[in-house]
Amino acid sequence: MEVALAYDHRTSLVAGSERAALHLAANLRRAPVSFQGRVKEPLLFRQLLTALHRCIVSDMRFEDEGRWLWMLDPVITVHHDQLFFEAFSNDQSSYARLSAPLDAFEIEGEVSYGTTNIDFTWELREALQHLRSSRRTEFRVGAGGFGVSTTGAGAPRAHFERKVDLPESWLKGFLQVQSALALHPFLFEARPADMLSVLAYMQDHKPPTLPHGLRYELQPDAPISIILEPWEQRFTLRGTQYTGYARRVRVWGRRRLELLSGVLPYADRVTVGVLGRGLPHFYICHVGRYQFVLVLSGWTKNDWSKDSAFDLLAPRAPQDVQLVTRVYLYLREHLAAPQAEIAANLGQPAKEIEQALFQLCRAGRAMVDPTTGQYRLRELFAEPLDIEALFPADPRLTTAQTLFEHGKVTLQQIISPDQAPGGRKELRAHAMVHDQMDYQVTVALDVTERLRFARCGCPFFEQNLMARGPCAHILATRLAVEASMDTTPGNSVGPGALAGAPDVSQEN
Amino acid sequence: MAGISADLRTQIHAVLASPLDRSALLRQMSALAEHDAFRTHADLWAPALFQRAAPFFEPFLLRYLDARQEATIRALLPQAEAAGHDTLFNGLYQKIAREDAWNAELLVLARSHQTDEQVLRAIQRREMERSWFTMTEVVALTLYRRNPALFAAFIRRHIRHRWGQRSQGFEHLLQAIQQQGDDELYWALFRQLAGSDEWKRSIRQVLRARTPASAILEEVRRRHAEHIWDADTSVLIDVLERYGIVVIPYIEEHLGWIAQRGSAERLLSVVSRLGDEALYWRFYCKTRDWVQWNGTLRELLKRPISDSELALALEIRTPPSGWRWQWWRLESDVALSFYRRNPDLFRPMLERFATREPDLTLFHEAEQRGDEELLDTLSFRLMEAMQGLIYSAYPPPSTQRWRKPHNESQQRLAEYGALLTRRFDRLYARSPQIYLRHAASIMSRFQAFRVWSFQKNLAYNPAFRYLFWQHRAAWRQSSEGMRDLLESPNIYVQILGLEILAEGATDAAPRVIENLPLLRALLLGRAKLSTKRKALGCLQQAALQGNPFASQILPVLEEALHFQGKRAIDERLMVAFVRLRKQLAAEQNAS
Repeated sequence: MEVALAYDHRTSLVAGSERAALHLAANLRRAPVSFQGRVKEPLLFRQLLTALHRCIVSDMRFEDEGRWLWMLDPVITVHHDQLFFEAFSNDQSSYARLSAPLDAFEIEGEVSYGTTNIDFTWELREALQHLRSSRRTEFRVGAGGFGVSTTGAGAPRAHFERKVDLPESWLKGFLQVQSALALHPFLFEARPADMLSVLAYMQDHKPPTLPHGLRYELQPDAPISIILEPWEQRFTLRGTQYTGYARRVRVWGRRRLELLSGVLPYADRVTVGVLGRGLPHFYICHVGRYQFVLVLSGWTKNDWSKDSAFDLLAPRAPQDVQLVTRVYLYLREHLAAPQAEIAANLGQPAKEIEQALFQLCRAGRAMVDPTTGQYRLRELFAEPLDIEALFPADPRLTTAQTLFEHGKVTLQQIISPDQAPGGRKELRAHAMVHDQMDYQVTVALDVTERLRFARCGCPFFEQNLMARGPCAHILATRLAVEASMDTTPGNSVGPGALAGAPDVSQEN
Repeated sequence: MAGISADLRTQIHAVLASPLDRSALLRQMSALAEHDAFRTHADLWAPALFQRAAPFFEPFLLRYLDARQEATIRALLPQAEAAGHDTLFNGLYQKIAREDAWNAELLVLARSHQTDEQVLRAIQRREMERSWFTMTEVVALTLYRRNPALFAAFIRRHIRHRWGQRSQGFEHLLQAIQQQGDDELYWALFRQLAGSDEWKRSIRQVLRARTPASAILEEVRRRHAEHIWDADTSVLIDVLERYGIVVIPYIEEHLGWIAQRGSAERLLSVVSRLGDEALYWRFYCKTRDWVQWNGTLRELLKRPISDSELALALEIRTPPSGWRWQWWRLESDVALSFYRRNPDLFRPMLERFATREPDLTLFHEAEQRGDEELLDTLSFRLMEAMQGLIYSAYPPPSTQRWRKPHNESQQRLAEYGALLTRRFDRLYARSPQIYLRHAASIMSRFQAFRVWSFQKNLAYNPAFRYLFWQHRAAWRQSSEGMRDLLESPNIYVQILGLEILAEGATDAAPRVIENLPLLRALLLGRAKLSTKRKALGCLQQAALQGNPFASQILPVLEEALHFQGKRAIDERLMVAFVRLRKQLAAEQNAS
C-alpha cells in the first residue's frame, strides 16, 4: 500500500534560554488538523515523546532486511479532550501510544480535530533533549500558515513529499497489534519500581539458554508474580491481589520492555494487560496527566500479520456491514463513546456492537482505551482500507466449517462457566476432531465468547501453538460448541466434572 | 576432554531415555546444550528429538545443528521432506547448501516427472535466503519453460546480481521471457543484471523511440540498473534536457549517482533552465560542497537587496537538516557579514552554520553588541572545542612517550578559557540571575555523553572549572537554574546539580522538593551507584530541614526501596527510609 506524505516544512524545535517551540509538521495530504498550546510539564512531555521516538526507530530483528527503512510517519489525533500520538515500530513488533489530556496544555488559538501524520524526524530525538521545565514550551501541530514561523531566515524549511510503500505485513501487524487492545485483556496495576526491577534484571543478565519467555503467575488470593525464564527469577508485584482461578500466562518480546526504561522512572503506576499465552501484552504507564501505552506483539516480523489471527480469536458474530457503518457514523459524530452508550443509542445488542467496534479498530478507523473502555474515532489513513483484500477469509475457517458439517467433531465434555466468586468465568469444552487422524482438542471461551485458550494435538498447533492463531480443529470445536449451546442448552455439565482432564489453566 | 565428552553423551542418552514430557525434555536438553561439545553429539540427540515431535523441537534443532553436523542434517532432510516439515527442512537445508549443489538439485527437480505443483513445493522448500546464491541460467530456463507463470516468482527471487556477471550470461532466459511477453519479470531481471553499457544503450533506445512525456518516467525507472555505480550518467541529463520537469522525480531520487564523474555542472545548468529556483538550489546543495556554497553566499551578500529579500533568497539556498550537511559551515567573513546585516533575522542561520568551529571574530562582535543569546551558543562551541584541545595540550601519561604536550593547544585553551571566564564574571557582575540563566543555557546544550572526560575537563578546562565550582549558593537560590541542571540529558551536568544541592542545607531543600520526580527517576533508573548515592544524599539532607520536606520525600524513598538489581542501593535506602520514618513519627508524637 502506498501512502503519500507531504509537508510544507520540517518539524522543528527551536530552543532558547527562556522559551522553546516545538512545531510538528502535519501531512498536507490529509484533512487539516491543528493544535497550539503551552506545555505545562515539559519534562514529562520530553520523556514521553523520546520514548515514542525510541519505539518508532526500534528494530530488534537479527537480520538486516529493511532495517533502516522508515515506515509510516506516526499519527497524531486531536480530540476535544485528548491528544494522541501513535506509532508502530519498524520491526513490526511494538505499538506505542502517547495520550495527553488537553489540560496538559494551556491551549492557544483554535483547535481542529482529526487525525494526521506528523513529520517525526530522526534528529528530533536529540532536539527534544533541549526541552526544560524552566522554559516556556510551546507546542504546535499543523501545516504551513499555522502561526508565524519562529525559525527565521536560514532555518531548514522546505516543502517535501515522499511516498511510503508500506509492506503488507507491516500494515497488518500495525492494525492487528493496536486492535489487540479491544480484546478484553486481563488488567492489573503494578508499581513502576517492580517493573523496573524486572527490566534491570534482564539488562544485567544474559540469558544462558532457551526459553526466553516472561510468565505472569496468577494464583488465587496471592499477589501476581512475573517469572523470567530461564532463570526462573520471580518478581512479586506489590499491591496486586489476584482473585480469579489459577493461571499462568507466558508471553514473548520481553526485550522490548526496554522501550519503557525512560518512562517507568517517571510513572506513578503501570496498568499491565495480558490476553493469553503468546498473545500481545501491554503496559499503560500513568505518568502525571499523561498515559503511555506500549503493546508488544511478542514477535518480530509479526507472525500475526501473516494471517487474520485476531479475527479467529474475536467473538464470532454475523458480519453486519450496515451496523459497522452505523457505529462508525456514531463515532464520527461524537468522536468518543463507551460501548454501552453506543449500544444503547443504536438499540443493538452489546455483543454485535462490540464486534462492529472490533472491526473498526482492526480497520484502523477507531481505537480503544482499555482502562476506560472508551472507543474513539481515529482514521489511520486518509482513505479507508480495503479490509476484505487485506484480511481475506482465513482458509482455516473453511476447513473448520467442513469438518464440523461433515460430523468430524465429537464433543466429549462442555463445562459451563463457574458462577462462584473467583471461579473460571469461561466455558470449556473437550472434543475429538477427526481430520485424517484423531486430535484431542480443548477450547475455552470467555464471557464475551472470545477464544481465550485452546489446545490441539495437530502439527500446526504443535509448531505454532497459538502464535499464528488457532488451528482448524480448534475452530471446528468452537463451531460445535456454539451449535451445541444453541440447540441443546442442557448439554452442559457442571464445574468439576473434568477430573483427570488436562489442566487448561497452565498456559505455558 | 574425551572423558567430559563421553560423560556428556551418557547424560544426553539418559535424558532422552527418561520419561519426560516434551517441555521438560526441552528444558533438560537446553541445559545440556550449554556444554561446548553438545553439538558434536548431534547424531544422538537430533534424530531422537526429530522422532519425538519434530515441530515442537524445530527451534531447538535449528539452533543447535549447524554445517559441522552435515551428516546428521543430511540424514534428517529426507525424513523432514517426507513428513512435510517444510520450515524445518528449509532451515536445515540452508545450513549445508552449496551453490553448485543447490543449482544441480533444482535442475533435477526442474526436469523431473513430478507435477508442476509438486516441483514448485520442492523448490520452495529449497528457497535460499543467502543473498550470494544465484540460480544459473540453465536452471532458470528449464523452470521457466516448464511453467512460466508458476515459476516466474521463484526465478525472480533467485537470480541475483554478482560482481563481474553480465546479463549476456542470461540472454537466452531474457529472450524466452520477452517471447512470453512477461514484461514485469523481464525488467526485474534487467535491473538486477544490466551492466553500465546495457543500461546506457537501453536509455538511448528510449530517447530514440521518442517515448511520450507521459511514459518517460516509468520507462527510465523500469530500466534503472540496481548494481551499477560508476556509469556515465550523461545520458540521463540528455533525458532531462529533452523531457524537463517530468523526469525530475527520478533524477532527484538518484541524484548522488547521476551527479558523479563531473556531471554535476551540466546537470545544474540544465536544471537552471527549467526555471524552478527551489529545485535548482535543492540540487545545488546535494551536488556541491560547503566551500562553493560560501562563495555563492558571498555573491548573494553583494546584491543590492533588502534584508527581507536577502532572507528569502537565503532560505532557498539553505540545505535542509540532515547528516549530509552536518559539516557545512559558514566561513568567518560570510558569518560576520550576515550578522552585521541583521543579527536577529539571521540568527538561526548563524547558530546552525557559524558555530561549528570556534569563531572568535563573531564572538567579539556579539560581545560588542551585547548579544548574549548568540554568545551562549558560541560559548558552548568554544567549550566543545576546548574538550578536543585538552587531549593534545595535556596528553594522558600513558601516551606521553610518543605524544608531547602541544604548546599551541595549551595557549588556545588558556585563551578560550580566559575569554569565557571573563564573560561569566561579567554576567555575574550584572546579576547572579543573569549569570545563572546563561550558564544554564550553555550547560543545557551538552547532549547525553557529550562530555568526554569529566575529570580532565575539571582539571584543564578553565571554563568548565568555573561553571563547576563558582557561585554554588546562587545556583541553589535559583529554581530555574537547578531545574536546568538536573533535567539535562547529560549525566555530568546532572551530577553538578547534585553536588550543588548536596552542599546546601536550608537553601537546598526547596530545590530538592521541586525536583522530586527527577530525583526519583535517578534512583529508579540506570544511573551509576555513585550517582544514586549522591541523589540519596540530597534527599536525606533536605529531609533533615523539617517535616514538610520529609513527608514529601518519604514516599519517594519507599518506592525506590523496592527497586532491585545491581544498580540498587537498597541498604542505604533502607537506612534512610527508617531514619526518616522515625523522624516523622517523633515529630508527630511531640506534637
